[in-house]
Amino acid sequence: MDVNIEDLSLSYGDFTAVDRLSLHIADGESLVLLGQSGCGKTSTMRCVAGLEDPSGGSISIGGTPVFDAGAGLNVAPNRRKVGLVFQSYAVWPHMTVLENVGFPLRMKKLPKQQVRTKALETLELVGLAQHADKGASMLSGGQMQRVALARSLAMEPDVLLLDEPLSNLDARLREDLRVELRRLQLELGLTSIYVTHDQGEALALADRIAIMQGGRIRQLADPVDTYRHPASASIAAFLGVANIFEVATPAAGDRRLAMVDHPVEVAVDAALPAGEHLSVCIRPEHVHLALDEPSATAATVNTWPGTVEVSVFQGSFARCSVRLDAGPLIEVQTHDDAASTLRQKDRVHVSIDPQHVQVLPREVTSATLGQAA
Amino acid sequence: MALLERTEVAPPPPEPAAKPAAGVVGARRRFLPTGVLLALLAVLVLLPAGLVLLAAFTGRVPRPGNVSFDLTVVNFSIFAEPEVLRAFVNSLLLAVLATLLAVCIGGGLAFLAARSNIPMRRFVYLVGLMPLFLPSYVGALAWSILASPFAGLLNIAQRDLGMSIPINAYSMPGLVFVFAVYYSPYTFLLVHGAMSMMNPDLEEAARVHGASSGRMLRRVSFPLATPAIVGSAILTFTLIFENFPVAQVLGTPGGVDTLPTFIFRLLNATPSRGNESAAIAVVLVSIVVLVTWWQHRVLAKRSYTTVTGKGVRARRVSLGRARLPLFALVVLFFLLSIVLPILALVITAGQTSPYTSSISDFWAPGGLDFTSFTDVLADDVFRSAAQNSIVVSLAAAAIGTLLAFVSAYVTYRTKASGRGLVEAVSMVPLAIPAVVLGMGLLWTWLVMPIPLYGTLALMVVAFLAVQTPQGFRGVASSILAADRDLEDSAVMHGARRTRAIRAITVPLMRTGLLSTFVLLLMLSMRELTVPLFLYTSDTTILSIAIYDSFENGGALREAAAMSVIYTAFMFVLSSLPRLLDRRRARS
Repeated sequence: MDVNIEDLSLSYGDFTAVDRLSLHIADGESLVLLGQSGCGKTSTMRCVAGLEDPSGGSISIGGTPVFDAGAGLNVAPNRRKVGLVFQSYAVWPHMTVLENVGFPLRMKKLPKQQVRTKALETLELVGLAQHADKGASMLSGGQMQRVALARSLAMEPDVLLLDEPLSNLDARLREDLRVELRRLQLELGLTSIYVTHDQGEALALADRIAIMQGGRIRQLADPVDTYRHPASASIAAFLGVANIFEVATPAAGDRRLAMVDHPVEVAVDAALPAGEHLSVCIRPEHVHLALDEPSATAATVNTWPGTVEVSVFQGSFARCSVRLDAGPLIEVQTHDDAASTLRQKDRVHVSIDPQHVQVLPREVTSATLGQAA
Repeated sequence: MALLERTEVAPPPPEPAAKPAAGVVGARRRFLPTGVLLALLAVLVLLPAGLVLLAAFTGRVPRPGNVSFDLTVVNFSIFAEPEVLRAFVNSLLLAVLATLLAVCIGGGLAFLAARSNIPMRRFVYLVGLMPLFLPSYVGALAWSILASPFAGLLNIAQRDLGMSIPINAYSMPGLVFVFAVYYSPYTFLLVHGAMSMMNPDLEEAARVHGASSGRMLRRVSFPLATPAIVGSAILTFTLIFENFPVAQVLGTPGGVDTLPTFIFRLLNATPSRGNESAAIAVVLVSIVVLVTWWQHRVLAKRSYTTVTGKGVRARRVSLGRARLPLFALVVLFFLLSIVLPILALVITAGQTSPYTSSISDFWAPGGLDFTSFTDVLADDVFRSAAQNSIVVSLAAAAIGTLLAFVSAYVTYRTKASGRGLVEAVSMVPLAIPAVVLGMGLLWTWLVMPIPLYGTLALMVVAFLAVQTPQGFRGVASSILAADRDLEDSAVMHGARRTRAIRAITVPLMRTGLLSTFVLLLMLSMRELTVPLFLYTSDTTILSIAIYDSFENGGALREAAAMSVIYTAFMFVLSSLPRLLDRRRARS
């Protein structure tokens, strides 16, 4: 069922965790709330769950209001039919796996036999049926994670909320479970809200990503669009764009922008946004490295000489930091085999295709909010 | 518990536009649980304290239907009397000296048990802990048997051996010694905890960076334990400063008055001088509050101790040639704190003649006769006192644990307004000496229109009041340790809040709740001072029965037998939590 959040605010004392946030999540959609810790993503999700007392706004699930500040309505969490997978899993250690998964069914007052059958079916779904009678505290992190998921799926929720469910797992397991989560979500057609600070997870799991900063949604778009066109320099930085340099405010029609802190001019292709405090943003994988002097015939646009400060070989790619002679430090990520042999103090040439240079405002202003939806 | 539940659907708001977001329902949810709790705690704790304060500033003691509000400061003129001043100085001197000695004993034993290569470390640990099992006034009674100036067993033994080192428990040094012995376990426990939990990395870092073993101890280990040492010193100071029974048993016969015994005497004088004793009580409370407040400040700075909770094995320090002499000292302490006192009680219980001129009398035929134990067990007074003790203690511990759970839950798991106040009020009895609280409770329940005076129910109420801080702390620490997501998760999966508490939170806190229950049970069993103000012949409890038979002299034998039985019972009770822990670890 769809979820509609309007003008939601939540404050703890003087601190505003969620600030007049509006968001609509379609039936069967997977929405990811992405942001740094303290941005209000978990608070927003807990408001939908009913675990917080928001100070304003309204929330409805499937057209039924569950919270309305104006009407003094706040439906108890156990009446909302909302599943929640906690970051800490919150698997009850004093129960078996089966008892954990059967709990929501018992709360629905299903007959005993049915509780058992349904719980086992759900455990089958997450591949844990053989552990049904184990004590929950005997499980590994990945297994607990699956129990928590199965428990929420067993209640057949209208909306499934997931609070950084993979953050306590090691990297390999995380990637496996990521794929599995997406598969389940699509298969069951679950409306879900997924909270994370990991951009990789967000890109993999989302139909749409809502990027949150300071209790508000700053960008709402599908994963591809989010990745390619971050709305501001601070969002770009959060999404792993390592090379961000503030530039002087350009005159109309300018195609070359001068960095504020270094005597370097960068050629750009894209149309420039209006306003001041613009930055040029370049992903490290869009920077090209050359060991030789560029030939006179090759385009010399956005090409600078520099010295390698540090180079790290990472298997499928290599990453290095190059200090340009003109001053700025450029992060480079390259699949070029030659780059893996680079040493400290090697001389290189760095070049960037102008069409890969994005020019973005420092922050999203409130005027641009909510248009992407 | 229904109060904690979330309101499902609100009635339509009366004035939609003007109301704040939370509305009427929110306000009710926010204030109701704390309101009820605070009212309860106020009657339990604040009213007695308030009446003492009132009595200190008025001319008449609160009586039913006659509570005076004519304020005056004339009661404080009692501080001009030289006896009061002497008692004041005695109290301070006694508390300071005994605390210093207790901290040295407790800290030393803690270091030996936790961090040294002393032989039989497990035994050394028990030696440090054991004085806790002997209620301090039983220890005092035993030492009065051992070391009263003439008839004391130690003095008799000396005469047998032709020695005459003056040993006198009825004196300042005697009091300091007995207090230090029986209050040293507080330091022992805290410092032992700090020392054995200390992250060995911190010490190894000191060694790697060039410190010798000794310098490491001086520069790293002990400084890291400082908060535990200072904290326990202040705790010990307040406990000794406000202690009544030990000072009464050992100080009063030797003419050494302290503030608590002085208050007690004024109150029992004819005519009773309640207002003046209340004035002294106010001063006593002020000092304890001041010291407790300081303790909070000291302990608040604890965060710099990077003591980890991991069960890491800390490194052991070699004692070298001091190893055996130190062990001998530990054994000596064990003899003085446990063996000799228990032996003295057992011998006194078996003594056939109240006048003993030589230790050899005991070995003569018919010199010892332990029928007193069976006599006591068959005695009606003992039986009814024991029964009362058990009934009252069980009730106080059960209700106390429940009250503590509700208070801690409201404080740490809800957003109810005024929940900070619940914690603050729960902690108030910490700052009120038992003598003062006893006096206040007496007046409260004489004035109150509810006829509790003279019933066992009043004893339960009194114990609830005295033990709110210990109950709250016990439950709070385990509620904080339980992840709140676990309960929220049950609510998310369809359980009502009350159901979630019952099905998830309470079972998870089982160990914590049980050990709080046992702690309250033990404290109730050994509490003497407060019931001393409240008991009637129908509501005598065990501690009172023992104290009474000793003070009234006549039944020394029976009193000693009772003490031995009582101590054995306390020992069993105190090992319950450890047994429970072990069972849990196995399952």
